[in-house]
Amino acid sequence: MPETKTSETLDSLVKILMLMNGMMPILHGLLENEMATVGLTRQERYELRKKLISETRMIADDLQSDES
Amino acid sequence: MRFHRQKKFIIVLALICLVGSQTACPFGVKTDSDIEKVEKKLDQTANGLNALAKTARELYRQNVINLQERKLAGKIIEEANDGLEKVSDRVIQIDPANPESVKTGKIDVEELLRKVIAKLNEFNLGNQELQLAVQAVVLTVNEAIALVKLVKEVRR
Repeated sequence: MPETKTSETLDSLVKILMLMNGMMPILHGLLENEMATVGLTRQERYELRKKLISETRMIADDLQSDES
Repeated sequence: MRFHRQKKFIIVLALICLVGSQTACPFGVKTDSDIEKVEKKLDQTANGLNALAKTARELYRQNVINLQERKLAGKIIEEANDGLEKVSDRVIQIDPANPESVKTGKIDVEELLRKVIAKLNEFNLGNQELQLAVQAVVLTVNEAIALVKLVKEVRR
C-alpha cells in the first residue's frame, strides 16, 4: 500500500512539473514585457518621457542651426 | 477518485495562474490599464522621434543630406515633438476613475495625435532611410489613436 501511495504522489508531482514547464514561456513573456517599466507609476513614466522629449528638442534645435 | 482529485488540483492551479496573470501580484506581473497602454505607446513614439532626429544628424554628417534638408528635418521633428509633448501633458491629466475626464480626455488626445501625424506627413526629403523612420513613428501614433478609442473608465 505505501508503495502505491508513493507512486501516486510522484505521478502527481511529475504532472504538476510538466504543467508548470508548459506555462513558463507565458510567464516569461509577461515578465519581460514588464521589465522595462516595472514598478514605475504613471507619473514616473511621464517624467521619463518628458526627459526624452527634451533631448529630442535639443537635437532638433541643433539640426536647425546654421552651424555644420 | 484519484483522477478526480488530480483534475481538481490542476484546475485550481490553472485558475490561480490565470488570476495571477490578470491582477497585480507580488513580483510585478500585472495587466496594463487602458490608459497605461496609451502611455506606453507614447513612450514608443517619443523614442521613435528621438531616433529620427539622430538619424537626420548622422545622415548630414555622412553628406547624405545637405544643410537645407537637415534644417527642414529639424523643423518638422521639433514641431511633431512639441505636439507629442502636448499629448503627453494631456494624457497625464486623465483620471481613469472619472467618466467625464475620460470622455473629454479621449477627444482631446485623439485630436492632438492627429495633428502629430499631419505634421509628420509634411516630412518628405526623398531620403529612404529618413522616410522609413518617419513611417515607423506615424505607425506608433496611429496605434496610440486606436488605443485611445478603447480607453474605458475604471470603476473603483
